Amino acid sequence: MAWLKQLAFAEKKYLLLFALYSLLLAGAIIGQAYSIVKIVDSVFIQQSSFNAITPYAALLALAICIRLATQAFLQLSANRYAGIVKTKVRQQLIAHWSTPSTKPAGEKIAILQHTVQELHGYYAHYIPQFIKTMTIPASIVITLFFVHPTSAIIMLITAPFIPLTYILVGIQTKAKSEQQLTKMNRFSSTFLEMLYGLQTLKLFGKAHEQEQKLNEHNRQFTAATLAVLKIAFASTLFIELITTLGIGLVALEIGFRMIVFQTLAFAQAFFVLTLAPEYYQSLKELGAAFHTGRGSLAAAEILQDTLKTPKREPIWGKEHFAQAPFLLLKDASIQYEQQKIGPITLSIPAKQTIALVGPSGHGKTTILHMLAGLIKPDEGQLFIDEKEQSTIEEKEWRQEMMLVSQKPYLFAATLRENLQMGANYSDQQLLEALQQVQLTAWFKQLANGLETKIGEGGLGLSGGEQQRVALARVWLKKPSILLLDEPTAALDVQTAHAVHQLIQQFHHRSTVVIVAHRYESIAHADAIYEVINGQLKRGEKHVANGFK
Amino acid sequence: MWQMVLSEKRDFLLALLAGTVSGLTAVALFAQSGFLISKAALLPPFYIILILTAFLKLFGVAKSVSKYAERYISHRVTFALLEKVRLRFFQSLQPHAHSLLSSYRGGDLLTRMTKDVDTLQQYFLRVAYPPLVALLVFFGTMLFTIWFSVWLTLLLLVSVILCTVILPMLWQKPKESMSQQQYTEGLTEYFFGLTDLTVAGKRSATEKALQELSITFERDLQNEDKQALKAQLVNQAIALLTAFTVVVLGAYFVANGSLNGLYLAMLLLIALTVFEVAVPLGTVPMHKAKSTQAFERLTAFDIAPLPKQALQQGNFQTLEASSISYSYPKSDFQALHNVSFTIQAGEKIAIVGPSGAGKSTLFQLLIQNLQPNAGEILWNGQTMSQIQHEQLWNQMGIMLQHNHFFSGTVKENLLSEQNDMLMEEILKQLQLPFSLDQEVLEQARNLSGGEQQRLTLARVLLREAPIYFLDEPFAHLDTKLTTLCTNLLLTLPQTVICITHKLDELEHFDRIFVIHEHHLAEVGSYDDLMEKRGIFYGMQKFL
Repeated sequence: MAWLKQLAFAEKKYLLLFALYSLLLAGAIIGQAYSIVKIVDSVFIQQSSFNAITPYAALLALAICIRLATQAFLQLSANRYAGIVKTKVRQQLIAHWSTPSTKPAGEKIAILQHTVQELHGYYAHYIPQFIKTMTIPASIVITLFFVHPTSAIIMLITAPFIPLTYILVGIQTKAKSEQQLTKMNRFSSTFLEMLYGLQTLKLFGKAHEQEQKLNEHNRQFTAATLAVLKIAFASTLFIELITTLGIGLVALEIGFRMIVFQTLAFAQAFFVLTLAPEYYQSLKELGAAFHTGRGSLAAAEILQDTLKTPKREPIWGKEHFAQAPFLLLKDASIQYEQQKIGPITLSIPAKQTIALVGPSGHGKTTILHMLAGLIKPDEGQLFIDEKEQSTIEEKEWRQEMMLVSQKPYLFAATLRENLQMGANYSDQQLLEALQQVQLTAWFKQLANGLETKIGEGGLGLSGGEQQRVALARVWLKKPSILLLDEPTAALDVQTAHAVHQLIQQFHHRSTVVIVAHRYESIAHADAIYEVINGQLKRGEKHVANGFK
Repeated sequence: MWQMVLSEKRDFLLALLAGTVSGLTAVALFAQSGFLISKAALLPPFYIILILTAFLKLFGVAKSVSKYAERYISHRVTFALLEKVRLRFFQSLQPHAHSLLSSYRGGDLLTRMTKDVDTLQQYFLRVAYPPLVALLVFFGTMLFTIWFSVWLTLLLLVSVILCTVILPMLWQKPKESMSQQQYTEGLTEYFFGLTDLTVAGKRSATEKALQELSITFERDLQNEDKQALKAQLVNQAIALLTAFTVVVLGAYFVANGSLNGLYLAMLLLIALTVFEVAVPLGTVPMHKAKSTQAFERLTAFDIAPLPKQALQQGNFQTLEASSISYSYPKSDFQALHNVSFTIQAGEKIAIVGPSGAGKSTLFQLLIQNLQPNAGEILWNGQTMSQIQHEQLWNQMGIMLQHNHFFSGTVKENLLSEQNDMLMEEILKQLQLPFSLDQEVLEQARNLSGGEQQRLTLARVLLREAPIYFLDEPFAHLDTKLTTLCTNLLLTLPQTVICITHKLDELEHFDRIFVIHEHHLAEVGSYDDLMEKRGIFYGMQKFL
């Protein structure tokens, strides 16, 4: 809640605008009631001629126009306001997720699109309505104090019952309804889950059983939803009754005054009676907006939790370093939710090749990411040529360093663009790179050659072909720091052999770190380390031999 | 969609009734308070005021209660309808699920569909019955007002027609914007390619482009809201304009004596209240368009034709592929090129080759999840693509690379009608220390990869089908278990077709198919292939 409010107050201009529009709206409502009353009063009670009402008709027309216009502007600026907040949150999230993390991409996309969109209700409806409700009923009551104070007092006394009802009903049912709301939210995903299972079931001729299960879930879901809605509807029923009672009390008191005491004229009485429903309406609307706003709370919690996870974006400086530098990771550690990597100290002398081996999921890739300056260790430091990483110039580092990830990503672009990655190489160089990674035969069958479009995520290319395109990038860039994450995992033995020869070209020219599980990959390493449970163990060459 | 609504006839009528009563009592409530105040101005006897006030209370309570009933019943109908929609969707998806789910991004498609089902929720609540309620309330009100002034009633009629019929026709159908899809695609590229982008120094440029996309995405979201807002405002403008005309025209009639001034306040309040049911009608066309789109997307499968031919009688004898080729949709590459072979009943075939060479594509073609672009596959000489899927699958035991598990017991997850003894025996053979009623969590979270694979293998082995298709069945098993499972498969009387990347258990297969660079490069027994010193030999040598 605090987070939502903090974001709300970041855009003060809009809050002021809402207040201004609300005041105008209140004025229009009162003006509308006043002119209507005047018209009816003059023809009905004063028995005056039709011409006498012209100024009031004009006033009424004006009030109606202002009312419509302010309402339109209020809602439009409310939408814009919500849009600004949402865009800001999206930007924060993107900035937060700029380093490799364990959260699946699908989940991140869902959060950016749907979860953020759920904030809309809070900013586009709840906040403007809150300001409206602070303004309009107050203006009406103050006006009525001048016209007929008793009615104003009755309205003041009945008003608190409306928010009170919301609070009481809210407290009583909060736990229950929240529980059921999560159940409701989960239903769509359960449904999805069932659809996924359909393939397996069909192959085994069991799809009909799933249909019964779906029916069962369906029924439970309906019952749960209706139970929650019943509560919500009951609270509106109660509020409607309070409103009716309030208006009834006002009417009764007016009736007494008019007939028994004869102290109240028709005009005043009619004025009170026209404004009373507007007064209660505005209070009721807050209740409705409150419900919409509540829907945003769950989303806000998810977003807050997401933004709370530590961010490991490294900072960069201006210093230079020698080509193929000496790399040192000192006492570096990273604390994931489930797992701690490090503290480790790993030194890689300039132009040496070291290999990291060990079971998957024990931290090899994280260590590689720290060495690449992709993530900053929670504790400890990366030193490049004995200078702290944070003092090194980022651009220079990017020019000299290359990391090939386990699953290199090919962008939805042409083969040429995927090889160049923003740099400029001649066709000759590109073809030679393809030759180096043994993609020439594959390349020859492409009708459009280098201009062949590659689908998102390299659709249509095999895993091995994708990895070889990524390795062709390495050959083109010729980095002086080369980090490889299982470069031959998706390759068959023959192609892997060729790729190893390619990597050999960097041996004792660049500083190379290779994460591998094949013996061949580490055969030429100057040193071998085993990573187990986030800890480093120095291995000897014979470890590598026994590793097969 | 109307047919479905009408299937809930009783509740539909009840919701309509409750909605009408609540609308009419609201009108009555305000009409009466207007009358009360005017009457009071004429100083009638006090008991008249008391009676009128009592009625006021009655209308008030009736209005609140009927509103509650309307909401409750309309939501009940809605959820009953959604239940049906889901079930129908499930039934219509069922024949097509295999091809949808095995295609690229099948999951995304499903997600969108579940959202479509949720969109239909709006149909009943905002499209199906509110216009009817509005019509009934207006009709009732006009029956009443016509006693006081014909002209004012006519005025009401014109406004109503404008509000409910003419304007909704003018609202354009919302254009489906591409921005969401573009944003999703942009984000997908960004997150999957994050490491490569950072390393290539292209991240900040991409982030900027993403920011642009997010702004466009947000703007399109807002345009949708704006359209709804516009429609609602226009309806409200008509309502207020009507009230204005009622006052001015009414005042004119009172002044020239054709209307009793006593009723002016009442008529005015009626005009103001009756439009409360009309203002929400502005969004009807928008919701209608949206739910129609959703409904169309959901029922689109009903149209796609399914093979209908019955499987010819007789035992399984041959499975033949004749020059089949396949390329994935929207792709320039042929994932499988000109593959031909014949497999005889009882043969044990291993399909090997580097990853991405086309093994899995061949597998999907054989089990009818994909259809070849060229060539055909024949079952006992009958073209497979024309045979009804269920009948074919009945003859097959299929183990996919990713298999689905359900929360329940081991027995339920075996998906078999065989007796318990046999099930237990097979579990034992596969060295799975499970009892049949042991719990399996959703997605088999409590089982290791190897256990999941052996459990799926048990599923297949329990089927009395003449041919088994297995896609990487041993990927998560250690050498000992791989040997155990391979030997088990090789002693079976069934035909076995097994994709594998483990090259050390191949000696006892009858034939080995080597798929290399998207075609069938070599076929033969282990010894033949080793002697030939071709691709297979090379693969073995480097092992």
